Amino acid sequence: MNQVSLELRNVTKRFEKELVLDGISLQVEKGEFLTLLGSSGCGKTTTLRIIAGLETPDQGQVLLNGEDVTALPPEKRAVNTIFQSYALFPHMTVEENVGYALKLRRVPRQEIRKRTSEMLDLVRLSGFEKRKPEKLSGGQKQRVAIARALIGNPGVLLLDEPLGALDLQLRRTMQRELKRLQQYLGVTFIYVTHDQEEAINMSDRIAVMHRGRLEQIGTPDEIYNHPRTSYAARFVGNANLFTGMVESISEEGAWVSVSGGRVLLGCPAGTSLQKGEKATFAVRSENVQVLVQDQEGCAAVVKEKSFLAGQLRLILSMPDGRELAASRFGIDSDFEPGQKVKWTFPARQGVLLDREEQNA
Amino acid sequence: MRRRNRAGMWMVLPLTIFTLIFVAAPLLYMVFLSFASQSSSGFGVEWKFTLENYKRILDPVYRNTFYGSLRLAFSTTALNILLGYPFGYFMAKLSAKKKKAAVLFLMLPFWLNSLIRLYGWIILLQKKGLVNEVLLRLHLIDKPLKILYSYPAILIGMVYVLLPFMALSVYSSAEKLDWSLAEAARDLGAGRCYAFFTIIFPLTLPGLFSGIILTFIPSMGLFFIADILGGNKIVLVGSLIQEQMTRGNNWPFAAALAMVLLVVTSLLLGLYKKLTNSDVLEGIG
Repeated sequence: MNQVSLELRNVTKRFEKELVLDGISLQVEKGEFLTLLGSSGCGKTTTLRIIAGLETPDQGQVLLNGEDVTALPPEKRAVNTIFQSYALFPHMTVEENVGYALKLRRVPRQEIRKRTSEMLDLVRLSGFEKRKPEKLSGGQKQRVAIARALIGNPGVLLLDEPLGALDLQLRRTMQRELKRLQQYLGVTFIYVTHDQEEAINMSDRIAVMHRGRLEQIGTPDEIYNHPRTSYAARFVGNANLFTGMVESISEEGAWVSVSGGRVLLGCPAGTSLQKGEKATFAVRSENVQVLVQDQEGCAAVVKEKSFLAGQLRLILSMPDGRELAASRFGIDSDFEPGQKVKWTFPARQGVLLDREEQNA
Repeated sequence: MRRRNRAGMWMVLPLTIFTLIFVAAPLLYMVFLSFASQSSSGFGVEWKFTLENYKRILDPVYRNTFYGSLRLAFSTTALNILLGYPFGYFMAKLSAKKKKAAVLFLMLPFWLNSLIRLYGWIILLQKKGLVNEVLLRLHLIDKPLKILYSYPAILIGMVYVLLPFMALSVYSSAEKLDWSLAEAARDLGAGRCYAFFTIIFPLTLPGLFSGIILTFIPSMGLFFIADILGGNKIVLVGSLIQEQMTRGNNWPFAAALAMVLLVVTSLLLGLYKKLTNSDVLEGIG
């Protein structure tokens, strides 16, 4: 295992009486790109602020390179932040903004100029040295913020939804750019976002947060294909969730009853189950196969048909009234709203979720 | 386009007329008056061009009055900066609810005539007043201080009357501040002080500057504070002008004094504006 760059141990934080962070523990390796993913209010920004030292945890510790920095003020930590609003100093030029961290360390003027121009080169903003932030576009401000945060060679860079204010196209460009910088400089990135696509595109690992807790931490592949909790399954890739009784166990897996029929949960998901047990599992919409009525599967009725981001999306209504989404590429479909259909999924694509989540 | 311009002209016409009648005309009248002389009968004005009034101001008695007024104005402004800046700054850092209360308390005195409030200060500052009582009780002094009718009393009164203007303009500037800038500075390695002086202070300078203008100009002319709390012992330009207008009945001389006051204040403001417009703002950053 590589060197641990940052570690959180049981970090807990309350605002007023509300529990914002509930025992967050995680380790980040040197040079790793970790994303804290979750909807707003899940505590991801607070986690970032605690790492930066802008907020003090009620309990728990923050360790940087194995050293406990929990009690240190922000200026004493080798951590820099890119704020959501960029927080560029409006009364300073681009050059002064980027050189701020060096100037306060009394680095000679000549060297500040040299390193500032190198940094601006790196973020592709050469020639903008004398501009004031108000004269920059959103993307340019973003680049200044990146250069300013990276110039002091921080061990860890914290990014708080840095691309939130940019339009889609620019966001994609900046995603690639950030990834390039991170790999080039070998800096540990802790990236906060609510955008699952962004998280999957950029991260080495993703930590899914929900209501102040870490739901699951793993590689994008693990999170996407093997979510452990219903929240992770729903938040990353909008999976369909089912709960049903295990009817029988066979060699292929476990047959679970659902509204309108029964489905087979394949190995390894189905193997640990026992007959008569309740099982909660997730199936991604792209894995749901919609069939004509005389084929084998569970019964449902087509409720809606829509076309979204290159995908055809069918909403099926199950006999118990719950809905189920199925999607596939292409726009041609033989199914129309109101039509009775059957649906099923490949046995291996049903992901069994943690048991504790079953009552959620 | 042309039609719209014409309509715009009609809109500003009332304002133009108002300014001409109530600002330009009196000012012009003052200029003429300052070059005339008091009629020999002691009443009215003799309209004959003379520089006598201005020559008279160069007389040490009057010159010193100007120096004294400037000194008081500068010390009032300086004290107001020292007290008003932190006041406004910390007010901006209060919670929204407390902010409202603080602004209300700061505005409250404006509902009462400032003359009446100054009489209140007489009661506080007099020999057996509250200030002396408290100091005596605390054994900080053995016998009552003679604060009332002294220079410090005037200074207290001036600062008291003008402090809200400074505090409120600093507040309005600090209130608009994006506090994440200070966080960014500290995140980049700046200590509290360094962050304050490189980020917060430069960004609240506009408020401080308007506060300085709002306190300096009135403090050159506020004569009733010196009259009430200074017991007429200290003569300021403001009181001198008032004196010459009323009891002295020498309008031309009063006009000359007023003109000099106007020119001195304008020059100082011009100088100040030149300083703040150029490098002062950027030099700090």
